Amino acid sequence: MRALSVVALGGGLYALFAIAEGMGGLGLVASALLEECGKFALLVGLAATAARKRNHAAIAKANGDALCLGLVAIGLFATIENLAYFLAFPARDILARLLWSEPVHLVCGFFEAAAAGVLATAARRREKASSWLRPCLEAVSCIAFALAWHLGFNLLAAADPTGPAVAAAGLANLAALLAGGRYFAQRVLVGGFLYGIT
Amino acid sequence: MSLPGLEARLRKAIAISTAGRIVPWAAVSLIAWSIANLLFMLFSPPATAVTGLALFLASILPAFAFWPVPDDLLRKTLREADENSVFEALLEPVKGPALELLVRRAVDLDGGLPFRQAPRRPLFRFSGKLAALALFAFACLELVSLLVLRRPAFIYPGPPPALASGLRIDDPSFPAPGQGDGAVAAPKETPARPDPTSADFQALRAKRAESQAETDIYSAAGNAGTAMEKGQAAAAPERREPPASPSSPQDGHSPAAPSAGKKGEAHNLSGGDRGEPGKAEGNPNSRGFAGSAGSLPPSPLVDYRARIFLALTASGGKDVRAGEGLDLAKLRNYERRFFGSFALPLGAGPREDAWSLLVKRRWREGAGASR
Repeated sequence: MRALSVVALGGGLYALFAIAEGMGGLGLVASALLEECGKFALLVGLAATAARKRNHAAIAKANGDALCLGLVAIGLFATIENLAYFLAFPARDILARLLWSEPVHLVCGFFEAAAAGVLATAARRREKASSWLRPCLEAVSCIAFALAWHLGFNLLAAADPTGPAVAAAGLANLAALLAGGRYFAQRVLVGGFLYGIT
Repeated sequence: MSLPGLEARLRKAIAISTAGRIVPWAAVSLIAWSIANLLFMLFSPPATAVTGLALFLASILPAFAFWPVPDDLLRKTLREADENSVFEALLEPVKGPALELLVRRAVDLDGGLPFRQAPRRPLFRFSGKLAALALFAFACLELVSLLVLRRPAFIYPGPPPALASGLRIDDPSFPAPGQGDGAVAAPKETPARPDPTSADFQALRAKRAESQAETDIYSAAGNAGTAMEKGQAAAAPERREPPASPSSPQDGHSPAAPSAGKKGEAHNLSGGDRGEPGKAEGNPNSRGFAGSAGSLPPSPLVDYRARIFLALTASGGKDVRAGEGLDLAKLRNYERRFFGSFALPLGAGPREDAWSLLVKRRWREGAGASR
């Protein structure tokens, strides 16, 4: 059931972006902004579903699971986008998207998921207004990094990079993926498990 | 309060669990890859289908890797590192004077964690059913590839090239009839039926007969070339006898036979229409003959040879034309006379320079003529 839900979320995300970008004729900046806002909204919505649990440990676990499912949905969105590009450009060069586009979506997803988890934790703790500053700063930093990362790769792709540039971008994506994964695991999974809502 | 040692162990457990997801992904990918390539071999889609499949299977790896961690993974890891349930007690919402003591004991325990060896966990969890299913799918793929491709294959190689399927490729390098000397008709269109009384039609009839005889000559010469040198040429002309039926197989290699899949048409070209040689020349509608209303031969090899002989006939005249009555002895004579004109018998020894001898001979001949 969770698998079907995730597939539906990924497909819906792609359809939404395809319709919006098809209607508006968006540029590089606007399309990156639209996609990152859409992904962040999805992650926040999934994190909000964890509030229905009873105890703090269950809430923390549900929060982590929901955000992981959100990352899976983002991965499926990237898969559908890859297939759409392949149908438009059926050549072996399309495999370069495995080093370029899909890791970019996943890197942005990791940081946005961490931001969503931090905000959801702060909301459940019913922090005082003055205590929201740090979680908000952290969330904004994560979202800004994700947006900058996506926009930077969009601009680089528009410059038609050569083979070494694509390989370097792939390595950068891999490093960012590992860093983003570690950050998400630390802040959401481990932090939620150990320090949770208490 | 933070517990970095415990956090590091928990992160490591999550990383190992994530890395271990590669095994089920690989098994599912192998199943999907085998089934898809099996279907590709049966239905022959474009070769880019394999690229699309590889792209899809590689793209779904994050879906396996980022699936939520198992419920008991973090708690089991914590209990393995916990002594006297200090950490687990700290996870409960404790309040009161015991909290400070609990925190101090947890921090002390956490400080010693890097110096304690963590229990080893298997990186990959082997699923027997999934592995068996993957192997079965792979075996089915190899079986189908042996049946369809006649060899084991892991990847669908793509559809067969167009030439092997007998499709005709028009060559625009040959000019249309009437363009240039000795032009050969470019068979781009099926020519209309010519006027039997016109000179062009008579020329076309002659060319058709030459093509027919040339095809037969090559089929016999290719087989009996060595036998002719050994004085067995008398047996070779019998190969020109028309076969009993158009489908009777030809002996040996025949340059007229294009490919294995088109032997029937080759037989029609070289044998079938020669079932009645007297009538073949007078039948402009016979398939494969220049100027006929039917389709031209699908084999580029036969067509090339036919064009070459038409060009030779057009440029060489009667002496080069291979008539109906041409036998192999006449062909040998022709070859000897043609190639013999290139030879200069000098009687040079093994260490003598042939060019110098030729010059000296020509000088002697010229000096003798001038006297």
